Amino acid sequence: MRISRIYLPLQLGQPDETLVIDGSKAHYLRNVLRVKPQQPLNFFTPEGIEYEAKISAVEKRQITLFEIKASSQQPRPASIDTTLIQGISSSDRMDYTIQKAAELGCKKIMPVLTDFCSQKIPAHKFDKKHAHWQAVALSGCEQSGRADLLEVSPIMPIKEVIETVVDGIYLEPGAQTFLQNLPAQFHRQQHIYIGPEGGFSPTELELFEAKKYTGVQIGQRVLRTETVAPVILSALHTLYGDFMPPAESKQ
Amino acid sequence: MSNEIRAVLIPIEEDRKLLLPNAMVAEVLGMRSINSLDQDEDWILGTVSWRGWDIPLIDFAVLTGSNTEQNVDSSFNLAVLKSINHAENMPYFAVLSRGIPKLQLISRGDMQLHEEKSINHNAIASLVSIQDEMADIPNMNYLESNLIALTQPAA
Repeated sequence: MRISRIYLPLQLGQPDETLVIDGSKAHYLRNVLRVKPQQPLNFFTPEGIEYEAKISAVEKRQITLFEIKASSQQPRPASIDTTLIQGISSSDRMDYTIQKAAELGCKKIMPVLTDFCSQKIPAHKFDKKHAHWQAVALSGCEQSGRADLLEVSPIMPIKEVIETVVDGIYLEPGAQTFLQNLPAQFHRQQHIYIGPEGGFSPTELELFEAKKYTGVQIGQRVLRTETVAPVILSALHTLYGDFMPPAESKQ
Repeated sequence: MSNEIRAVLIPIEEDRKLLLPNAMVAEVLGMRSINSLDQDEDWILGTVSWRGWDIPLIDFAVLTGSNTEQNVDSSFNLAVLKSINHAENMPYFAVLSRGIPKLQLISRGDMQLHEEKSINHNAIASLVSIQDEMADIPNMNYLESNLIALTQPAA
């Protein structure tokens, strides 16, 4: 039987003998996963630690766990530290980008407003949108077996992000650098700008140039914006990260 | 011609289906991640994201008294329905479908109303059979009013 796995926003130092889950997580366990007493359940916490437990009781508003212990084989975070700075795309595409980024071990996504963003989100809905994307990220982490959360940062204008990021990479079909020739400082950590459906505006490209960011191309074709995150993460993992045999990736 | 309607049969549990006019079904989707919703009802599973909306997802079988034990996994589908009574408060909601909904052209003669069978829940408007298949016709007004009351904070 497949063991269900969920994220619990708890601080567990030394796990207690039992743990009571209530609120929406209990509702989800009871009515969607439909857990039963004695069934095993894996969960992970904000500290990035995975635990194994068993269900002891399922009640209307709470679920009790017992036999809680930290898993002997803890999931490892991705060996590369990637932040995607994603121009906000239309809602389903953005969800797809975040879900795939979570599955591929991305550390952080920064949704940014750019000149050519087609998705006009009113300012009063920023918090709601942010919470939704964080939930999509969380669900991707639960499904993919990672124990570190993909962090989604609040919506910001791209110009503010450019001011704070020193060594950035931007993806542009006409750029000169190929991923295989990335300077060594980007092999372990990357901040990657991905345009929305309309790409980057000339003003944004000028700002990238002014900050001496590295323009990178990933082939001669123009990719849809939601294709880019899984492609770039896969390519980086192949060249520098988790898709390499362990001995090579440690160098 | 005028006696026929395009209908959809949504399997809600083994040997049980919901019957709806096709015009009410906006889309049938594969299972997607369910976001928790802070309420206590067993039959409201949470919300799902669809075309930029966060729409409530319900399990009609659980609402009408079924004690299903099968967990909701990727083998399920979702039927997105258009609200007909309270569209301004909740334009769409989704119903859990155990399998693939079936399109069917139904004429008046194909459908038999089972008035002799007692209806055990207010969410069921009537019980019918279509070519030997039993189906529930949902009471959309009841369903939509309750969903709105339970999922949306009072203004």
